Amino acid sequence: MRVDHLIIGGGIAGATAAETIRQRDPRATIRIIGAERHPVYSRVLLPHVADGRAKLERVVIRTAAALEAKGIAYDAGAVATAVDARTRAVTLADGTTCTYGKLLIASGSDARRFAGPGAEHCSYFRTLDDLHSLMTTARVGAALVYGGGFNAIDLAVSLARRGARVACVMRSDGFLARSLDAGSREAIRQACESHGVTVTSHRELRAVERKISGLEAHYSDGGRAPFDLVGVSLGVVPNVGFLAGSGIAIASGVVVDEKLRAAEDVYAAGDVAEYLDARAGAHRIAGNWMNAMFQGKTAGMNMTGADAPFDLVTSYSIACFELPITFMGAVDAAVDERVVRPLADAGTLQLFLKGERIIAATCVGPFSDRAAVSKFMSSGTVLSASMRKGLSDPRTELANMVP
Amino acid sequence: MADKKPLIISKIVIDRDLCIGAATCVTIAPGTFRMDEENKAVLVDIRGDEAETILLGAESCPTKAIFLYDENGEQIYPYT
Repeated sequence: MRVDHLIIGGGIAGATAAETIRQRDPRATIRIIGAERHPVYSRVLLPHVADGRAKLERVVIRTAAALEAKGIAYDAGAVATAVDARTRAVTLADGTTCTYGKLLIASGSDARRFAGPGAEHCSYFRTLDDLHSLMTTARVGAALVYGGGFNAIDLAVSLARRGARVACVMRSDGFLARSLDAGSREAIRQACESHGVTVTSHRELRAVERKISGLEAHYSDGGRAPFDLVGVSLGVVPNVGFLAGSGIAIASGVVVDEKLRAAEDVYAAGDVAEYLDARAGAHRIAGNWMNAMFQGKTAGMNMTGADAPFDLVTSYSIACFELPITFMGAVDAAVDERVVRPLADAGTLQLFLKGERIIAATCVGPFSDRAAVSKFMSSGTVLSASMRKGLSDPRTELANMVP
Repeated sequence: MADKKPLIISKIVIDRDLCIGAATCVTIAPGTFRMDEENKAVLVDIRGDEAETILLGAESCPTKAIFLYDENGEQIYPYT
């Protein structure tokens, strides 16, 4: 089989790329192969379904039929096992081969697995199948959530709302420790504890043992505790294994330039793309919905003749119960300074400076300055000495400082 | 292919319980949506962008929190 545009990955990046290609080229043949046996769905909605705020049907954002109606072939459950960029061929798990004119790698990332003894007893909260498992688990009395990222907070909140007694345990010094200041981490801990969710930092899970009465967590410090469910959230690993020997450069993810090109006629987008972030001055992976969607759009444009850089400032937000948490821009990049700005009511805004520019921000609490901060970043405003002084002073209106 | 009937959006409803403040709608249709102090999307102006752009903004929402209705009160999005 041969198609003009082959897209590996049935998530929002792949689907958006396919639709963008279709808008720009009514006649091109387009095929999406997605490893999961589901229509295109929203991972972001999974916590809302888990705690009953949204119905399961709502997670589907593009059905196969809707894509087919646009002339986009969507093969759910089709797994790419090898790519050869020289012969422009992709081999699938069923033994078939598909050649392409242009290839988009949008294969996303999978949950990093717990590697200790008893790993088979751990649950995850990454995919629709994970959600099914969670929702069909008999009533959960006590749950351990191991890990300190966004996904761990989502899982803890969902389980607590389902009535479980939740204990959060992490190796790090609080939630989102690599990016957040101490005050923000404390605010999240308090939000958890005020809803009966305990938070323990600097503790490592060593093993999980199945007992007659349920599971038992064994910690490296010698402690043990019984649970009905052990949820693990240790970040994600980009799906690049099938690209070994492909001729495509791989670091953590697929290495692409600012136009999302990996090699001649090969592009990558979304959670798997390690793209050149010009603001951060480094290659990085931005694993969030907004990034995946808009990188899919840029890739789709560039696969149909455009030459557009991806330069959007993307953000991601969740709520830890009622407490909003927002990350904007390259929060993982090396920066020169982090300016901590207390919010008017409660919470903290952090501004990440590289040279004289703001390249990222975190906000724990109401983010009333979102538009101003976003403008600073997208415009690449060079901060004057007085502007820089004003950043940390909550009496200075950021909105008035935007040029 | 989709039919080419002109798109008319007469009502926009944002479900605040579903909105997580991802702000994709604000990025796509800044004339129509903005984020409020609680980091939730709110409507600024139903005519703030082209109807196609507003639809794209709604389609981009990761929690499908934006509901669009036509002049007869029929739901345009999420697709039923």
